[in-house]
Amino acid sequence: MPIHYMQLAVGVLLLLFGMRWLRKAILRAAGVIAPHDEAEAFAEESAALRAAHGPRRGWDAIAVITAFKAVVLEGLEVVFIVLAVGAAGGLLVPASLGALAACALVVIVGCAVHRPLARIPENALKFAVGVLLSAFGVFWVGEGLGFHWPGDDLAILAITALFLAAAAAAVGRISQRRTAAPLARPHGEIVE
Amino acid sequence: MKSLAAAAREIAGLFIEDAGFALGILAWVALAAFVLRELPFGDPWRAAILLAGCLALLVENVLRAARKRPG
Repeated sequence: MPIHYMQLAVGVLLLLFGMRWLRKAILRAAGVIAPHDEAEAFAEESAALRAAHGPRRGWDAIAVITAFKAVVLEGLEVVFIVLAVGAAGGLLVPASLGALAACALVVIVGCAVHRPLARIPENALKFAVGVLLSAFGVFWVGEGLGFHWPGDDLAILAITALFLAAAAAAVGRISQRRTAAPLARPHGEIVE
Repeated sequence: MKSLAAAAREIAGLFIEDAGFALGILAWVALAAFVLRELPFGDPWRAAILLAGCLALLVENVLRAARKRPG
């Protein structure tokens, strides 16, 4: 398969994936949608499972299936990112090794310090990852279409900075509007 | 069959949350592929226009989404 088609396909998927994440992170950062609280989501899911099936000891097939489904979905995201970053640049082995190392690190750190980890601002992480994925997506789409990026691979840094600036500006603009909105009178004049 | 459809929906959900936004991105990439490539601009300009379009789509979409859901 010609490399340009592969770059284009991977770029489009990465762009859809990254911009979806970044869109959600912007809306969360601006307070439009509630921030995602992983600890709360875990508590709700556990409570729902307990309510539906009662407390169990030992092997709980429902809990195993629920955890398996969640990890498969998250794992698919990782597989996709590895393929996108690795295959289009011919770096599949280093990208896979990086993902494996990250997986091992997450398991070890997660087992050792899972409570402090839950306090890491998840939205800030997703914001940063959304910016990076979107930047890689645009870069690969451009490469796939045969456009030349000034500075070649270094253009990714500039694209990342521009996505970050646009996202931060959008958060600022939305927050500003939302702060001003409750103070606006019915005829549109703003109360100082 | 139902579980397969549910799985397909979950996977599609990784890429598509706001259908209009996803369609906008795909339309912009198609426009870049079929129109922008034929226009008499230099290559750095084509790449810059591609990027500017993506940024504009993102900012427009979040501003619109925020207007729809007042706080």
